[in-house]
Amino acid sequence: MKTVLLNYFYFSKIQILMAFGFTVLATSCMGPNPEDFLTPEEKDVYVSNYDPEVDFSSYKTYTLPDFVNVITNPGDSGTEERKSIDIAILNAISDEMQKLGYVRVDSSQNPDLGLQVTKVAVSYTGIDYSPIYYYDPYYGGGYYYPSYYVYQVRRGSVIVDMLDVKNPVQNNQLKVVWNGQFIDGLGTLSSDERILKGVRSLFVQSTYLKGSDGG
Amino acid sequence: MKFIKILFVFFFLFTATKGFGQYNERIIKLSYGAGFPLGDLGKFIENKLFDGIGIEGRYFLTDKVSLGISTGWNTFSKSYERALYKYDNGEISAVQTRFFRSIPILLTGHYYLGNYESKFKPYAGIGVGAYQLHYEKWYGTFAEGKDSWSFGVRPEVGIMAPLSEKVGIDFNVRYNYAVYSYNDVEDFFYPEATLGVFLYLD
Repeated sequence: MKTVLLNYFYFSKIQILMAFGFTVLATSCMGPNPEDFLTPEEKDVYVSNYDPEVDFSSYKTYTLPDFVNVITNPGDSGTEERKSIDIAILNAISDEMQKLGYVRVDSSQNPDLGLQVTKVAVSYTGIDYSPIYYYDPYYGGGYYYPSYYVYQVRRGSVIVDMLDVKNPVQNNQLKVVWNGQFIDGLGTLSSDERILKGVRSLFVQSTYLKGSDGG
Repeated sequence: MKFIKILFVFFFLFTATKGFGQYNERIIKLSYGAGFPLGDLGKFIENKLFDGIGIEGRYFLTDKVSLGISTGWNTFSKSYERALYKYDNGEISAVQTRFFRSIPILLTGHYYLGNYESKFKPYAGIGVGAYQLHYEKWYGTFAEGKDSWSFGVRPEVGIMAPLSEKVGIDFNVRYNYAVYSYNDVEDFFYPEATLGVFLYLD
């Protein structure tokens, strides 16, 4: 009886050890979660897409509205939200375009390019764990994206679209020849400093953007 | 992690059932392994050990031959400072974090020199089976990843040193190879050194 009990406990110890080992196995071989160890700025992502068939030096002028489109949660009033950062974003874009050699004109002066800025400020998000996928975000109407643009609509992002205004394509649509996205890694758009750094970076990293005035 | 549960059941049965045959000897081994990724795997995550844990059961048919099952994992990960990654029609500026995990699930066979009373038992063997491979590449906090199963083999040589009738230590070197190609990792192989402890179950 004693032997049987000892055997019983002997196997139990081994099996308890194994159960512990497998628990460790199941938990410790998981991958990293950058949410846990990256700084807010390190979480930010800057994405730019362009039409490779376009010669960006063929454009000289552009127009930029004095407002930022805001996509908010249904029912929220987004238009009153954070006007100061909106103005700062527009100023930063204007500054970067000037550095690249493009001249800002009024929309009534037949600009070559039209810029549009959209702020996505929603509390929900897409799939948290997903590959980068292709997406055709037809919003606002009147223009289209080439299908190969890498595009992820995330909560907390600033999107800059550059449209070829002087060369309308079929059905009078305007083609988006460049698109930049600052994706806030925190999803909150709460840091003006990170937003502006990100928006400026979109232009700096797109080295093919060279206006006919130099840059 | 369903397969881990399945493996647990397998090892549970392995330890709970009596062996048969003349030698009636079973061991279970826990080991730490340090892998050295080569080829595309080594380029994917540079200068990092592919380290992990192994668990293995062996059943001795004679004092020179054993059959068994082996599993465990090797993982490595690394974050890279913000950089610009270009693709066909654009670019992404991000801090990349890369992660790769290998979980071999292998049936093994080993041949030993020496006999039951030897202080050291050198051996050579091979494992054949499946590698569960997990690839992750993060841009900031956005990930792309893929899980896949691949056929693989793992030849190894090692030495067992029984310390008593209950326990011993084991050292081996082995070479992992699996058929694999995804994104920037178009091949998969790594040598590995392991140090382990084994227990006699009878």
